Amino acid sequence: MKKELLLEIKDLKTYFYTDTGIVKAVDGINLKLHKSEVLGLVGESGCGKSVASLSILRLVDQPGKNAGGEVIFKGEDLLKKSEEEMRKIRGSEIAMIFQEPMTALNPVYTIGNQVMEAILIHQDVNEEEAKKKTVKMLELVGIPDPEKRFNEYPHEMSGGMRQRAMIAMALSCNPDLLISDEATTALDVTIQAQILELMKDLQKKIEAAILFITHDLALVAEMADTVAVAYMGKIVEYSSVKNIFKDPRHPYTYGLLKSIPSLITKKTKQPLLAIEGMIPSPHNMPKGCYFHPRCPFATDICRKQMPELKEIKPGHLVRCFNPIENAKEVSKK
Amino acid sequence: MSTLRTEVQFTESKPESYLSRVTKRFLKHKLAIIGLISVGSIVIFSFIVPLFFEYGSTFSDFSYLYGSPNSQYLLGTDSMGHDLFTRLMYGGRISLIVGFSAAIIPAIFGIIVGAVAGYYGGLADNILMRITDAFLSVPAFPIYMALAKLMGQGVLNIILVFSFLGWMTNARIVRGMYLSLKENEYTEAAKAIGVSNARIIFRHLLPNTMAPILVSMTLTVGGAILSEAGLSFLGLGVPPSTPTWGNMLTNSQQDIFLAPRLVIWPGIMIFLTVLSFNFIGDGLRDALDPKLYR
Amino acid sequence: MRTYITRRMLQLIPLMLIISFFIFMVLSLTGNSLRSLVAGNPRITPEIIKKLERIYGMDKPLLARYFYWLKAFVMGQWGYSREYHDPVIQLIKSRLPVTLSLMGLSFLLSLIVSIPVGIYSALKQYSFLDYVATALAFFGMAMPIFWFGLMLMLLFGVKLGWLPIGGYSSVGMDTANFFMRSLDHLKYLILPAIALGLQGMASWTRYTRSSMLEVLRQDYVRTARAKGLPERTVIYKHALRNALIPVITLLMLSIPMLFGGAVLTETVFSMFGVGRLLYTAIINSDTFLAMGTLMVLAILVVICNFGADLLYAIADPRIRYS
Repeated sequence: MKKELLLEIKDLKTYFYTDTGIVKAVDGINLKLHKSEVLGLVGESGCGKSVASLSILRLVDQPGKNAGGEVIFKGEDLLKKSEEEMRKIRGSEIAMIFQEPMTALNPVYTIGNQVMEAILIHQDVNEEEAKKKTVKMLELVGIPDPEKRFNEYPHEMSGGMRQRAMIAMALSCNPDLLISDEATTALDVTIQAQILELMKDLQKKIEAAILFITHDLALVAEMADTVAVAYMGKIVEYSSVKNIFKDPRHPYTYGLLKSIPSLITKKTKQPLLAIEGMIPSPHNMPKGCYFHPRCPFATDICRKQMPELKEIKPGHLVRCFNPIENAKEVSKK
Repeated sequence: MSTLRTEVQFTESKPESYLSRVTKRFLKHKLAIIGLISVGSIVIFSFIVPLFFEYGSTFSDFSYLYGSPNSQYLLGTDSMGHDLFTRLMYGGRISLIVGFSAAIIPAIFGIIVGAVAGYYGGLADNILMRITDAFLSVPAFPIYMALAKLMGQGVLNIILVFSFLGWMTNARIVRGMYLSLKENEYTEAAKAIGVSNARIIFRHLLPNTMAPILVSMTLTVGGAILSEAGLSFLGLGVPPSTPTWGNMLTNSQQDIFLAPRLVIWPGIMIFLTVLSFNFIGDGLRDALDPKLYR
Repeated sequence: MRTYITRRMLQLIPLMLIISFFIFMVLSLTGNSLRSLVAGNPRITPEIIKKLERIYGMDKPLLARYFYWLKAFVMGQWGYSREYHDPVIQLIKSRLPVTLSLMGLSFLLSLIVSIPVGIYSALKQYSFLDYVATALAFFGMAMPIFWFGLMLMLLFGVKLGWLPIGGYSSVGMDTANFFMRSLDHLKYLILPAIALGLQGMASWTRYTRSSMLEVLRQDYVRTARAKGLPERTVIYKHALRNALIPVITLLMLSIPMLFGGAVLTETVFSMFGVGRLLYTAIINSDTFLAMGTLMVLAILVVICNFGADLLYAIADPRIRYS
């Protein structure tokens, strides 16, 4: 049974035209997301994953601009829509949760006001009904005493509560797609677990698809069905969660996995490894494969040419000339 | 072939030094360059050009009062027979000296107050900041007037009066920066190896605060020139015998009917000078903090 | 909210004391009016001066004299002006309307120009009109108030003859009704108000612009957009209110500075207001008059400080509850 395709990103490019040159933050990304599926988008900070998510909603700030590609949502290209059509999609069909619950909420309006706003804009309800629905949403995301919290300001709430309010705001109009951009990164570990639990729960309840963006592979293992690994604005590996963790093919993915304590390393008693080197400066990208300066397997061709994203086995795509054949073998070396 | 490529790729751009990046951004700022050239010209006009002119600052031709411009007096003469062009040059000296001094002296004082408050914190900070706040609420210009009257006319007194009420902004900037800087690891490290407080304050932390202080100083120059002009216009500034652009406007309410150029020229000089300093300040601020105003 | 206001009000007391002490100190140093009064009179010996000083309590320490003076001031005994031979409080009362209307009008003028222009400049950054606004802001910030006033006078008063070049009311207007009188005053106020308001127009425009630019980059503005709010709501509901919070403080704290400008403007346009009164008081070492005027100014400062706090609290809930 093939699931219905909800979002397809084809060769999406978002460039920043700065004084010092063009920065290719998103450089030809391809992604597919089916209905009520969770896709994890993983990468180090600065790899363009946040810009990619903002590009879907067309919310990239100046001097960032779309430089090509398509974002097909429910069969229509979002990049071709008018600003007004786009506005109607934002918040109602595609909603977003941001990283910093501290700064993502407006400090001068109450939580209730900010959640209610989305409902009033997208749904045909009067103020009283919207308020009722807001209180219900606040309750749904596990905010105690929602009637009282409705009138509180963001600064009166804890980080976890604020992020719950953000989730309430995002889900208030039953979106088909929820983009979560590092939604739990700024929170304490215990709160983080609670919020993840909540997101999983609600995802099942309202059957929304989630584009789950994070730098933390461990979270992806918990949340996602499929995983895309991004490096310097490009997808380098794309497969099911199981494949990525059991059989990573791209040296970068492998490196990321090796740098998480307890996933592979614990079982095999290997030392924890970090990926050597730093991500290159966006103004001075290496030629060839962007990863080659940090790659232990790099050969001559990697220095000359950017590899294509190729399907090496059904449902597993890798952008590498020398994909790792057997992760366990490699780690023993 | 391939080895060559590798080498090329690995000459990764070294992060440019902060100073060279700032300089580069500043030089790209067109207004700032215009300001810099213009200030340079005004300095030359006031300090060097007079050396080649025959009239001194006190020269007056009593047979040619309110004279129109001619080949002898380029911009004509005023009610005392002073050559307007010469007076503009000498006036520039005082205006620039007042402007620069009134920027530097209060900056030093503000740095000390701010550094002590920010570095020691606690009670010292509380007291110093209360005083700073009170000084900030004092309406400056009327107090300038009262102090100028109290201390008597004179260039030095004007500078002191301006310094007296000009240090607060700098103190606040420095305090804010010290509050965050003192938490830094290198401050902790310096303390751990027994570097004295005074040395940490002035040798280790001070250089970090120079950038915003420089911006605030540049903008203060313009403000001081305007205030001096205002005070001198009211007859409370520099003694009338010394030409300053403000002094040249003291009689402007009569002059404007008799010979408007006597009023127009000094004003234009004040305006251009202040404008140029503001241009430089704006450029400095953009260069030092590019994420703002962009 | 109530505790916040009470606390701020209590904090105003030391502020008022510091400023008033400051004024007292400066002026009691300037005008030892007694000595200057009798200086040059050969028949008054140093003994007599000492005796007089004792009678007037001037031999007491500064702090004691300050409190004595403060008490009298609070009771409304502000002394007599040496120059005008009138009670200081009377003189100030009669001149205050001129200054307040001048300052009020120029404040209003600056406000209605700077806020909309600043917002527009930020929203249409690097547009033609943004450049024009920036150029005008630089122009205004570098302009000496009094000289600009003179130039306005020269152009509109002398050359074009559209508006009066000075004064505050026309001859024979004393008997006219309130409306006609106000209209007449307005004619005299336009040029000085523009001259005095120029600085505010310029610097507030810049400030509003950069504050707005700063806010437009904030995460919550992005959140508002991601919610699907119309751009109008994003800007006027979410961005503007946050952008105006720091502007409020600037506006309120500019009012005392306007007073400094008022001294110059009133001098240029020969208006007899409190600024001019202060000027003549200082020039003539008319100590009681100068003190009274400066104290009125200090009260104005304190009121404005309080106003800023109050507006701040209304606009920013973070302040209100802390």
